[in-house]
Amino acid sequence: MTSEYSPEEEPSARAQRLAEFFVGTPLLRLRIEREDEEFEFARSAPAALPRSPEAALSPEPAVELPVDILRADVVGIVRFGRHVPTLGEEVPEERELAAIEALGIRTSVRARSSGRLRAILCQDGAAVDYGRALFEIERG
Amino acid sequence: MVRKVLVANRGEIALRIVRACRELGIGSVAIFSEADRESTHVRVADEAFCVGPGPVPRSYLNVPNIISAALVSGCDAIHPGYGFLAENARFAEICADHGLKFIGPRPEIITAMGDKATAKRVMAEAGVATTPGTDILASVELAREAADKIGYPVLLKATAGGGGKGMRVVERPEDLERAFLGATAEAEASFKDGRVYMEKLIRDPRHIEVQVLADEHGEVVHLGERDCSIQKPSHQKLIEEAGAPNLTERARTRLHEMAVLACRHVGYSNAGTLEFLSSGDDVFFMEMNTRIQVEHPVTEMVYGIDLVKEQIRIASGEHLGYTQADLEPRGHAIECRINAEDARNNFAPQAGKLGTVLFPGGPGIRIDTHIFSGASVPPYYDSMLAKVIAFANTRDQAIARMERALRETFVDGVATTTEMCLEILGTEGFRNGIYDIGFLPRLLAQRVG
Repeated sequence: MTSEYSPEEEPSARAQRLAEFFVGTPLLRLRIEREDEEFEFARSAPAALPRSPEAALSPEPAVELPVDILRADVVGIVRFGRHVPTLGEEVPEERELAAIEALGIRTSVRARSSGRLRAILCQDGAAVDYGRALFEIERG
Repeated sequence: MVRKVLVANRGEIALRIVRACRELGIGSVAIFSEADRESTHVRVADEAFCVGPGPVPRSYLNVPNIISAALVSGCDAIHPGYGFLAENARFAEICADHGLKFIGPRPEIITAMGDKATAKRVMAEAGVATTPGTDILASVELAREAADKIGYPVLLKATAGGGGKGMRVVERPEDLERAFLGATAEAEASFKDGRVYMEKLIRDPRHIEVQVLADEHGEVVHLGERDCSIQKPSHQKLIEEAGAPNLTERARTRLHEMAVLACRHVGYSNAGTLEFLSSGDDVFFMEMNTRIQVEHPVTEMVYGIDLVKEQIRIASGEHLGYTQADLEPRGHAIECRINAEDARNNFAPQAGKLGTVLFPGGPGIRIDTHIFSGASVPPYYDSMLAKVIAFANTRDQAIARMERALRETFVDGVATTTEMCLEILGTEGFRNGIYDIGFLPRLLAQRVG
């Protein structure tokens, strides 16, 4: 890392800085977890990486926008609400995408920021364990 | 019979329970922390649920996630293993509240045996010999009166105690006041409970324990004794054997009888262990562990009984199906604990990635372990990596077999207790079966000296 972590830095500024750092690396995926923060950056699959000389010369590498991965923080059953999440839909910040039901208690899974729902990794009624990825949102 | 068991533990004991389930033809569900994702018990169980991050309070003690994992996977029973939630009466109650059978005794028995003063009182009522001692001592004056009656040396102990905190040995009357005040202050600081009681100090005792099995219909049997006197200075066991060498027949019979008597008195069910201090023909009850013990395999080897399967059968409401007369020990078994610890540095725990791991085999050797070449040893948990168990017709043959097995044991990447165990097996004291709980601390002190 080219610069040090600073707790005073705004998370959005840190995300920007980390994204810039990621662009400069050959990595396909980078995940950083620190206390209550989590950043994940990803490029498309290797086949989509620039291979032709023209593409390699392109000043802008194929980097996707920062992605939020929403994970289960309890063990339970996934329940979709009235609004069933659909792939590709734009979701506002705080939108409840699902809930996890455990021991009669319902825990909401909400979008941390607005963006495009780019992956639905769970099914209504399925059992999930701690840390299981449920949704991916491309922040926009 | 229960249909599917959630195994609320990790490491070798989780694997041990999964194996018992599989042999009984019932389902098994493992739980694991993020630090144990690659662990053997996770691979071997029918299903596995991550219940939290590495630190114990957030995963292996995360009761809501553990109960939820049992419910969503359709389990009807929970086996707690040892440590973690095994002796937590509240957890046993929560299991029952959710229709899950806790594989162990009833919660009220766990509570009674979990409190040292209560356990001693209940055992004394049952006619079990306990160390001469007192209830809570409210003042130095009462302590002085008690010590005069019991006879020096005496031991002051914190009722909320553990790990030697709030404990003082008092050799002479003139030292009593200072020791009483010191123990009270230390207990207050450590446990927010400064209450202390007094016991007669038994010099150089042996730690001998009796395995019991009791079904839910009142049938109780014992499965002999284990000698667990080879302990680290922290009182953690390192080598155990079944049976206990050089125990007088009188003491052996008394131990067995008292264990059964105690279980009948309290209405015990499932597997349990009564721990005693022994000195000559005298035996005194120390505490009861209401769970399976680490060292259970030595008993299994000499009695030919699978204790974990018996636990599951008992929890399913089955009758034992045999009586004391049907049980006869055969041969001798020794267990050595291979811990990720630096025996030359006060048994400091080790963590990290293991290199090559090779365990012994051949006649009469059993290995209970969860580790493998390249496995990680997380820093969050107990440092025990494996148990090497040697079984033979005689004690001498079992020692020779264990020495051979330990020389075939290779765990690269961390310091282990293998060499320490070999050193102990080679001593005259161990070979002659003449040792007490001070044996290993004295051996270590000599080495430093």
